[in-house]
Amino acid sequence: MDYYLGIDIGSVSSDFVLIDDEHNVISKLYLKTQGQPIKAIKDGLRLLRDEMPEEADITGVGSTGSGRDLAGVMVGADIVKNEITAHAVATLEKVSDVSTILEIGGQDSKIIIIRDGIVTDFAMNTVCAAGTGSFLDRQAARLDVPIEQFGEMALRSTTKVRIAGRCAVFAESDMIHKQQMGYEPEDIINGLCEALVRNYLNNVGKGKEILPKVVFQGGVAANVGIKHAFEEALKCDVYVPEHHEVMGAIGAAILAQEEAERKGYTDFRGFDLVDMDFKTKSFDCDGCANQCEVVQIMADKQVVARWGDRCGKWHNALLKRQRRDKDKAMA
Amino acid sequence: MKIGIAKGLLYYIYYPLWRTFFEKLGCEIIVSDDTNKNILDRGIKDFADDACLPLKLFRGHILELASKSDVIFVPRLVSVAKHEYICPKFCGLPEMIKNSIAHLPPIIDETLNMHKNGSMEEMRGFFMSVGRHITNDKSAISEAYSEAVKAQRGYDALLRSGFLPIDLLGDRQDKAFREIKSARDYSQAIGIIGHPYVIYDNYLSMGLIDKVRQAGYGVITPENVADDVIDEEADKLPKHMFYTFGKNIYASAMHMIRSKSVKGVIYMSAFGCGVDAFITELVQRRGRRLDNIPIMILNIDEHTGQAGVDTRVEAFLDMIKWRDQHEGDVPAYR
Repeated sequence: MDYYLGIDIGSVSSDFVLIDDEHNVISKLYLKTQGQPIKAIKDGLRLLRDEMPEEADITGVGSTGSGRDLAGVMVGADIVKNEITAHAVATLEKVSDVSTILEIGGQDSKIIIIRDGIVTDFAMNTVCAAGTGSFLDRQAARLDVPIEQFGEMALRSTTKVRIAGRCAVFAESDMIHKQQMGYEPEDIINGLCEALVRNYLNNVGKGKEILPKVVFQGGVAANVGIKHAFEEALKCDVYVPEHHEVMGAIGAAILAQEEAERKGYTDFRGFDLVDMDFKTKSFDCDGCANQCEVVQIMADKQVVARWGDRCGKWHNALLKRQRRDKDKAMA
Repeated sequence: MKIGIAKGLLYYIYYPLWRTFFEKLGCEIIVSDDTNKNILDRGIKDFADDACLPLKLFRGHILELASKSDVIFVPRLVSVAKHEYICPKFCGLPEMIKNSIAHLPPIIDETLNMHKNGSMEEMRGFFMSVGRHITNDKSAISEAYSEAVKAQRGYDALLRSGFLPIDLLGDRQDKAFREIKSARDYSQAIGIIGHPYVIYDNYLSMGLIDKVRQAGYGVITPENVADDVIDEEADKLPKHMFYTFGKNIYASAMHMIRSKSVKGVIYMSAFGCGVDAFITELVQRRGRRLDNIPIMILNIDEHTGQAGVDTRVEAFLDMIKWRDQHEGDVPAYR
């Protein structure tokens, strides 16, 4: 049986999916990255290996997310794709009549506008993380509410509380202010959900024509409070797909299938890579005044990737060597 | 005499004019290096916090020149067109430089102000004052000025024909004519708009132009659009836009969209630019009204990592390809 692996390494979570050649999700994993992507990738693959049916074979791998380059090198990805394209590909596959994708992840949020099955516009948040998952995480911790219960609590709110949503710092001081005035936590949490949605629509969604069918995905889509706030603000149903938290990984897997079929083989290193020793080392290049910090990824003491050099000197030298070695191996 | 010219701000627009003028007067030109981390770091250190990034960077370039030149050319560019201005920070540029750097060589800070008539006479007057810092021979100055204007016209003509400042300035020129194709030679193009000192500075822009070209698209910028086309588009606004570069950016974007000569528009803006704060909004709103050609705004600042820009550009180009495959039409750019 041919399976395709999709890996989405985000700032907060690392997601893995296995799909078959008809794009059915065979298994999925949602792990916390916890600032250690290398460990997360190894852990994920170890778990997947144990779950894989005996006769299964990985015939294509794709990576996406902000850690996509690292993941791509570690596993030997056939395709390394940005998360916007990956999300759009997966959503179009699973919800073919989608017109708007709202995606809120750990550190960024995006909106993707789709018309007649093609992406026609998109936007990502700027440097500010006010409307993202990490902000919610932080506020949940401050209020001592498990993040999983955040949404449920918001739905129990009875009184409207307006929280400033333009900036995470203002929102936090506003919440403290409202809390000291004696509002119930449910109401404050609901106010926060509404503020986040307002901020998202004003910032990321600014000037975009949001038409139904609206799909809401990413880790934050698990939060029913936010989903409800979106429905109120947009005055239409908001649909959360079944595998909403791993849509990026599904997209990467679908793209990997296309690429592997085009190439006729996969670059996947195999599950043995979980026992390999991956390390990141860096050095300052003194070739010019830019003094780029060149990052090297080492696999069992061998350099497998380099980046960070603006001129491409180190990067290209490695590519050249790898190409030569490959030619030698072929001959 | 060694004249220092900083590779920043309007260098990308006027370098041929300045270089020819000083060379004809027998000066040696010292141009600062391409922007690098060191230049940027030095420029930012101990400088006015609220200055925009390109201004801070300019200061870094002046610091590079300080030890290498006898005189540094930091003109006070107030206006280069009738009833228009350049960003107000340019008016105070010589003072900002002089008062933030100790032990500077003398500075040529003559004022160019063409606000009243926008005439070449005003330009000539400026160069006559600049030339007097070098020589008292008025006819030599006048001759150098004429040659300089000729050189600039040649440069402008190349820009209008599709080349970009980064192709023509510095050591890339020969290569440009040989290899780097002008936008016309690509079947499809992307518009890259923004202030010239942002989009043509490869360090600040993180090689945006090269990235788009490597992906197989030609690049059209405001500098490729003819003056009369810019004026025609700008006149469609209810009010005259009085910032020259803001006007160029806005009007050229409208032209690219209206004429469907680009598949998409990328607007790169430096954090803290007051003009961009207005123009990015105007370009997005009016651009959408004209056509559904995608427009993306990229904000850069000193701390921005390459990854954020790369992700957005990659996704933008993916989208353009995607749209294109489904349109199935002939390339719009001719």
